Amino acid sequence: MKNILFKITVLCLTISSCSTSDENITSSDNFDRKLILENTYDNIIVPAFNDFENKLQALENDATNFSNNVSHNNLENLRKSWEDAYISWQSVAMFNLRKAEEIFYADIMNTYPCNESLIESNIQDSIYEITSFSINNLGSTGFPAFGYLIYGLGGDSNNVLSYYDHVISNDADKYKAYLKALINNMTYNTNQVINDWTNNRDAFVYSSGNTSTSSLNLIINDFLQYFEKRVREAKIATPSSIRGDLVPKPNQIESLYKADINKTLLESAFSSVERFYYGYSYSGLSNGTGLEDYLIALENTDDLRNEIDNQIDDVNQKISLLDNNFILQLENNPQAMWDVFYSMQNLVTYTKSDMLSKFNISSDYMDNDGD
Amino acid sequence: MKTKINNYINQYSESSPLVVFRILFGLIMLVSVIRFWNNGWIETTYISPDFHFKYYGFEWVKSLGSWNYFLFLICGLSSLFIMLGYKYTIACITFFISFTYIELIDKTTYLNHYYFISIISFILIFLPANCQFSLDSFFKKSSYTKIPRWSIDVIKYMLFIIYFCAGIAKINSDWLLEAQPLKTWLPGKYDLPLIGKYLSKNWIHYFMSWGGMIYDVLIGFLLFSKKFRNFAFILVIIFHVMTSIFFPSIGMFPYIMIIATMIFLNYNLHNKMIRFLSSLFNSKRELNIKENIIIKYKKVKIITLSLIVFVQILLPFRYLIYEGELFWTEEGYRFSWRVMLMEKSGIATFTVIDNNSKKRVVVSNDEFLTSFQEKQMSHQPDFILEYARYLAAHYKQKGFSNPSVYVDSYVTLNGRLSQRFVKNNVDLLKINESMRRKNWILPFNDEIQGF
Repeated sequence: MKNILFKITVLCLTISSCSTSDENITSSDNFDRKLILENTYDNIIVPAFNDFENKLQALENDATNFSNNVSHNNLENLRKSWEDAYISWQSVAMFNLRKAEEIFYADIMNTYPCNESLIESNIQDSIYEITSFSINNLGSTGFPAFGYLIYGLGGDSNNVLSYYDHVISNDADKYKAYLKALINNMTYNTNQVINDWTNNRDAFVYSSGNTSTSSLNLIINDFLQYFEKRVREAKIATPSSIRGDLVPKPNQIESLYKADINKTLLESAFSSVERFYYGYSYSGLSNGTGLEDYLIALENTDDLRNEIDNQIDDVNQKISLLDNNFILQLENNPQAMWDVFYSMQNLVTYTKSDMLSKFNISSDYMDNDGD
Repeated sequence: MKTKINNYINQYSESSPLVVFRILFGLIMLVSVIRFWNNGWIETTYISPDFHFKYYGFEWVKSLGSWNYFLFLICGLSSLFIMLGYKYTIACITFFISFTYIELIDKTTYLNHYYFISIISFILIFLPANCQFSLDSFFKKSSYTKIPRWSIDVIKYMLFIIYFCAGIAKINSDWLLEAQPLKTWLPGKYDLPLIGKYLSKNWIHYFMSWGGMIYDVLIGFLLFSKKFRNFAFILVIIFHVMTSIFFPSIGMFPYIMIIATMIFLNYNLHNKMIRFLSSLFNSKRELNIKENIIIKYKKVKIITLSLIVFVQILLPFRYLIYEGELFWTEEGYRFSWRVMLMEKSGIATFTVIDNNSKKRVVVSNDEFLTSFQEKQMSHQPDFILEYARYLAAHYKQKGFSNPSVYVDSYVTLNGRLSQRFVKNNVDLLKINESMRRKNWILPFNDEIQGF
């Protein structure tokens, strides 16, 4: 009797002690969760970072041209490539995990509003060596700081040009150097993140287990976190002040000095949310495996998928009503921003509550005995 | 009848099962406290949150800040003393008070087995579990081999109630006919070696649901029968080890139940264990070994313990007083051994309005709550109400002189599509928390048949 008891206990304990490995697991009879990771890696992360890398390269080239030859034409080129890169950024911002999370990539690239006085004192003190993130340089780097240097120095483009003109300004070299420092910083950190992705395809793709450290759980949580914090909160809730006194805070918008691209940035960010959920490729040409396909593989999810589809449409429709220029939008009709907020909040319900519940994603909360 | 009761009260049995229970209970409590401490949960659950959800009637229980570590230290030391049987009664009282105090600080962390531990440690205060193989008996130089039968039975009755109630709670249409929530939970365990790939099979979900129900309902009876108790104990081990594999997040619970049910086994086993443990300590001290222990304040103790058991029989059925679906309203859900019964989650969006200035704010919950608190709050009405009051107080300080608090909340239960949970046009500040039915909860759109 005791012998059997002992054997059973040992067997059970063996199984339970092996259960922490999360390598290379496929579920043969039902749904292969690895497909989500493969599709996300091959068809979204890699091409999106490729595109972003190119845009950043163009930005660097145009910044160099501008420094060599301060002219209207070169300023316009620089502004255009900044805008292109900023839009492209929205498609990689979501993947704030692995190296990106470790080095605070998203904070380096896009903390807004930027800290004008910190930027100015950096310029005056000739502080050009900004490589890694620290709380001390928060708001002095990335796209917002760059936007400040090419749009935010006050007045029209003649005035902006005057800061970089040796004839007019004694500090022209300092401004040029800071522009160079910003682009170097963005490139340096982007390269780190790209290298990490490039060298770790297998580590990422084959970690499809259900533990708090597996790629699948991390990326699903990252997806929800991105949508809640960096889209709903940062782009909508904060500037429209729905969490505060409802008095719009136009100085909190993403692109403050070039306010008429904010809608485009928002659309691009929300597209990246949709892209991951449906599994669309970055090129938009193919539809691979995404969270939607995972839901399809589970029982009784037709209603939920319908609601998510409808809610995504609704968010898009509410966004389409916004002005390109968020400063104008907030001045004239903050209600339209609040409508976007509420629509996004409904989408949070269906994804964070219903969908996560269906996936039964392991959380690293504490003990619980099933609510 | 009276003579029957008298006979029962005067029956004696071997003390070793209770003594072994004491040792193992103390040990596993010590392990639990160390584990909780080691995981950093004292900080994350009791110190860092700004706000704690209180049990009705226990609002006065406050977090002790960094002194919570001291509280856990007391709790850990008293479990060590229980294990060693040193100053046993005081150790039990200290353990009961410190442990229960910790649990009362925040109901977010409510677990059925924490409640179980509180009850058992309270019961232990009245039992002579230090009558042998304890430091108390070592220093008194006397030990007893026989104790009143009721002092062992009362723990058995408690265990029976727990299993039986957990079992009949599973007799409902979601559990048996839809195999929910196991159908949601088990496929998520696809990464377990060997068995993982079978866990998305439909028949597994039904097999486990029905098996779990039958196990819980019958195991108490089997443990009580002399013929089947060994077999039943093997089932207990298999069942609980399985639950700990599938649901690692239930923590210490399976192990606590396994050691607790050992009390049902033949006393020969416990005697052997004690003899083995004694052989480890090569004591030369002469103990005066006596038979029957004399219990002081016997009548008071018996009445108290009977009352506990009686209340424990009634409490799980208090939900019958409330209208509405139990799983939805959770009125009468806690303290009734409903373990791993539902997959429920929600999103609650609070709006605070100042009726004087017409100011309005949509609350960002993570500003005030930990993610665990937010998760628990979003689908439990009493949490929602308490949180609304906290928000009102906070925004009063921010200049909302006459606030109202509204919530728009959606809850998903056992895989059903989210449904609005409470009336979104009700000012939560106008509602007082009470034991009464909460008519501000919206009716559940579906029906769950059964207990």
